[in-house]
Amino acid sequence: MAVLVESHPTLTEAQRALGSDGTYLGGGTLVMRDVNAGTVQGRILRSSDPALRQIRASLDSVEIGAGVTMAMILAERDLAHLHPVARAVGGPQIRVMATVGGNLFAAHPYGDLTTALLALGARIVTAGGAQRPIEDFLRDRERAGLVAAVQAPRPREPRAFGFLKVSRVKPKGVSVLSIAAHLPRDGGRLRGVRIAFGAMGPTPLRAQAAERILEGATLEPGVIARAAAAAAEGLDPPTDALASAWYRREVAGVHLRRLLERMT
Amino acid sequence: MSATDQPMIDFRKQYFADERDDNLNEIGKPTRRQDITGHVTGRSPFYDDHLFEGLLHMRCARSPHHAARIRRIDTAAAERMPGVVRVLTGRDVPRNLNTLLSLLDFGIDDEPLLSTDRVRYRGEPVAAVIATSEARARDAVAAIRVEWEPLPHVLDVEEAVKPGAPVVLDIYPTNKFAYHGRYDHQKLRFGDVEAAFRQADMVIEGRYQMSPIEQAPMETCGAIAAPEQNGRYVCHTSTQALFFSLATAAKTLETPSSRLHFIGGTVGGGFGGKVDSIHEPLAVLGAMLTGRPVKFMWDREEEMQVGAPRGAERWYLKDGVMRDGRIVARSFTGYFDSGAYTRLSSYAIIKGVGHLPGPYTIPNVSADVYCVYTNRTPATAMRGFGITGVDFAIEAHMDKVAEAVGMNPIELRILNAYRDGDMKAHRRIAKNCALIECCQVVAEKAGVKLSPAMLAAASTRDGGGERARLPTHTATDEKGRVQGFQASSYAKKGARPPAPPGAPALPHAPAARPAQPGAAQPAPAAAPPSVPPSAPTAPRAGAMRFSSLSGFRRR
Amino acid sequence: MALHRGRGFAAINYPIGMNLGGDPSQALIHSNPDGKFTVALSAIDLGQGMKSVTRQIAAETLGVPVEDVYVDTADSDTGPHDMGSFASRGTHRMGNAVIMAAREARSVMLEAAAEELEVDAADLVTDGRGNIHVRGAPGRSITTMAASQAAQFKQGRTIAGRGIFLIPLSDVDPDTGEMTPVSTFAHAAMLVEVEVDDETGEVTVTDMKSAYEVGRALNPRLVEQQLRGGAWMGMSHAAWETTEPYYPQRDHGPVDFNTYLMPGPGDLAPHHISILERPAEDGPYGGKGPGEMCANPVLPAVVNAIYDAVGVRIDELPATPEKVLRGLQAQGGARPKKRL
Ligand SMILES: Cc1cc2nc3c(=O)[nH]c(=O)nc-3n(C[C@H](O)[C@H](O)[C@H](O)COP(=O)(O)OP(=O)(O)OC[C@H]3O[C@@H](n4cnc5c(N)ncnc54)[C@H](O)[C@@H]3O)c2cc1C
Repeated sequence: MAVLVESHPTLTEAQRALGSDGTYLGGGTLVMRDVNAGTVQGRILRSSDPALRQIRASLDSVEIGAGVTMAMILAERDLAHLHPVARAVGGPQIRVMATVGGNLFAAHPYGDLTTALLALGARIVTAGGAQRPIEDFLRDRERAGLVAAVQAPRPREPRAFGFLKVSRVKPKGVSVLSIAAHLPRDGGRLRGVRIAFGAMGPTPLRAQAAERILEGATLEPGVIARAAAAAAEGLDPPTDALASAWYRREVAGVHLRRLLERMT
Repeated sequence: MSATDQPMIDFRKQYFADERDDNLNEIGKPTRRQDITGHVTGRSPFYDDHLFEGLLHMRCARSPHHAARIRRIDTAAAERMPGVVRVLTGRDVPRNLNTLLSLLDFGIDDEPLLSTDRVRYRGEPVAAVIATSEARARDAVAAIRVEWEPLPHVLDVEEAVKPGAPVVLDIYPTNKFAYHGRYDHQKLRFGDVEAAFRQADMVIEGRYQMSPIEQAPMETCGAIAAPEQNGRYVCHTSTQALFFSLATAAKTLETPSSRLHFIGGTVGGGFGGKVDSIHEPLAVLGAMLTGRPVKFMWDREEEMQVGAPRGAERWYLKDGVMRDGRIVARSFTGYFDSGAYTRLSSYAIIKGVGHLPGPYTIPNVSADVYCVYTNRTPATAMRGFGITGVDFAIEAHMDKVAEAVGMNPIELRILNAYRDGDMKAHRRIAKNCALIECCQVVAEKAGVKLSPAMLAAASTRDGGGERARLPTHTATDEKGRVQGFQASSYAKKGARPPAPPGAPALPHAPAARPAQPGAAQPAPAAAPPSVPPSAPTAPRAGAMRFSSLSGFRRR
Repeated sequence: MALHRGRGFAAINYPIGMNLGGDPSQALIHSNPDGKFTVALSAIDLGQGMKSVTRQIAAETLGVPVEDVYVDTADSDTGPHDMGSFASRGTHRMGNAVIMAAREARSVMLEAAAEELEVDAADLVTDGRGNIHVRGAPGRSITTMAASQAAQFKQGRTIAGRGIFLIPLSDVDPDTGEMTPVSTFAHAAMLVEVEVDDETGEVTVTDMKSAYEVGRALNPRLVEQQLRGGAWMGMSHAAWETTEPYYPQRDHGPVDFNTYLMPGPGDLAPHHISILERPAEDGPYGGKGPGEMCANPVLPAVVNAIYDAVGVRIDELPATPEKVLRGLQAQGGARPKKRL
């Protein structure tokens, strides 16, 4: 079967035209491989909507168009907290193509940026303008429709947000696991703690047991140790070519501890 | 000295200076490579850079099972798909049974290019679609319907050699290659290890596993073939061995080699994975049957999972050691994981056995090394073939020996190192040795203090003499005797293997050459005289010969 | 957390050429009208530098500058038989065939020069810069170009040479393994330093120090290229690569370079190489093949270094963080040995 590429001026039109048989093309780092392998065929839809490439920052939040690439994030001063994350996605050739929207849909072990967005408590804006929390979106992303943008709070201070990626190949290997932590502080105590793990389940997942331990606490060695011990609770790591489920579980807490220590 | 103070490269010209003439014009100069500008500017033509009008693309349908009987291959739907020019199955291959080493008189043809009746590993090809684009070829591959009857399979080498294990290849019913028509393994016997173990101060044992590895060339394996003038076919190929590929095509297609024009030479990495490819015969066959240029090229996934890897190896080592660090006996049991077919594993084992016990002079050595068939992707050559795996085992083991005797690991090597004039376990005298000097240089660079004796040691001194003697007694045995193979060569089956059901009869091209009266009888115990036979032995259809006939072998 | 440093050592030798012989290589050389030479081979240049090393060997033997030689590979219509580029045989086998071909071509070139200079060919020498002159009398000279043109357009001679190198196939004794495997061996020793993370099992190679004995570094840059790349491959085999991460099971086989693991630029360690040259009796200008053996010492040196660092023996490759971590847990934590 041949491949037919349709270009739509707005994302809404692309959404309308998508149907059940169309495939949306973001930067194509994943889709094009499937096209080449023949596993994606038929209608390929893209959108030239300029809104998709916009980054809008306010004092306490940012809205990032779904078509923004990792390289664009890296060029944006207002997104400094996401620079370490964007830089961790693939090599330079991937980063100039890979989009935020595509990362939200990328299957295991990909989704490093999504892990960060989950920790930040981002909201997903879909083509019609509807918004929903990112964890709701991740629960049924296959049926989510097209994504227009993500909105995410900006950490109030640099040490309130941290990201760590473990990969076997440096500097641009894919994740054995990744961790993002958002630790807003309120007079020394942590309030609104969100910890997310990538490559530890079918989608990025929150480490809720660890979050509960940290919530309301101060970031001190005893607390960190307890959070680390609970890190893998509720996670569902797979076995793959990079690491076994056992290994991922075993080191999840070690790496969470190291990240939290960095953030004290 | 800290690491950063050291030069990244230095030449130790003072070593062996008297054995070298350093005043040459071109040799020893860092001359820039003839082809480097083309390579770094992306202009060197590799096989896939040759453009042909109307090029067709070939892709294979593959087994999803580790082992299965093929009840039926239905290509009808695929043949009707747009852009499909032809679908090949094993019946289209004139001589659908091959092994590279049979060109060297070494081993029985055992592997179909396209399987017709049975598959023995996941990824084994059973049909090849030729279509106007790669995408169309992929679609048509997906439309090929195969009725499989899954069979029991075995993946572990030691499971495979147990009685009752699923048989991978009928010609090797115990899942072991037959060496010299005599034994189910290659033996090395030098002295008497058992007696020496009893006299040793300690015995140290270990088990080592080398993993299967992908050669990972940047350029995946492939070939483009096209009709040339005068009934000839040109083939641009990524092969590492132009005439192996040409001869394999001539043999399997039953075509005179003079009709084949093979061009290669500029290859995007090989590392051993491009020595025994079958892209060339399949691409040429495609060109013959369609009259058009045909490309057969692996994608990365095929390169990694159906491309033959460096085979896994399992080694058991046992050393008899004296308290002063002298190793007096070393025995090996090795299992090469050949995968579903022989390819080059049988040869690698001989190479490996000739290498034992490593670069050391040990008075008693023995080895039993098995080429084992399992239901996995057949293994083939890779950088260090036959040696890398066992060197890993030997040198990891040496570290254990050093610890057991409480010796510096570098000194243990120097103490046991082979020297000029020493007798090696394969019964030839060592010469041109330089292990000791390499050890000394590294010790110096790493700041490891060696004793004066170790510093004074040299490859050119203290070898030979006593150390040149063959053992007075060598313990031999008949373990692992096989029946039904001709003894004249490495593995010649006395009888023709049963023809695969449904396979076309090939009376003029038997899979295994039947015994020729007077020519291929079991060889006498003594070496055959080194004269070319006056009349050629069995004539071969289409195939050419590269290496010596049995009669050319020397001892 | 603790990072533990360890050092591991290994030494190896490596057989050059196809085991048991029986692997011929052939070369044809001829002079073009302007006195440049074409070497026709069926050898394969895989990136290792086959074309370049044979070019230097041809130039050295012909006695002409390397710029005057071009190597053409591989076309079965024009290049004579060669067994192929594998088994570290390329330089050793083909190098010898090229020497033989170049000697024959050189002798015709000298005969042609002798006729022009009206001297005895035995009295002529080449200076490697494109001149042929009478030994001891540099004034009485002719360029290689003029000699070649005289041969082809005046004297009616073909300046050409044929070369072959063959170690005849030998046999193996089934009972003892007695055999004549190869004619020469290359050597290496390697000391690797690692850092092992005792909480994650991660191993970082921090430094490599090696000595490689290669017979003769025919082209030192090409030798370095092999040794550096090969040692990287050895490190990769030691701790990263496999097509079957759960061998002998076939599950989770990698299908791309995101899942097929090999060390990246950020994993590289400085590698301090020393080169020793003990010419091989039958090697071309003493050369052996450095290409294959360079990876081999790294594999055991890495696992020995891991043991030195934390006391865990990794006897099954690759030495993944998981295997190291399991070993650490089994023995209740790191037990540094520090033996080297
Ligand atoms: C070599 C390599 C290395 C990589 N390394 C990493 C890595 O380190 N970390 C990592 O996280 N990922 C990595 N990836 C995966 C991938 O590149 C990234 O996840 C990237 O962000 C995907 O974005 P894309 O725009 O390329 O997606 P595409 O390929 O365009 O699309 C991917 C999926 O998302 C859907 N999609 C895209 N945009 C939208 C949208 N706006 N609305 C709805 N659906 C949409 C597509 O339909 C498709 O299903 C790597 C990939 C490669 C090939």
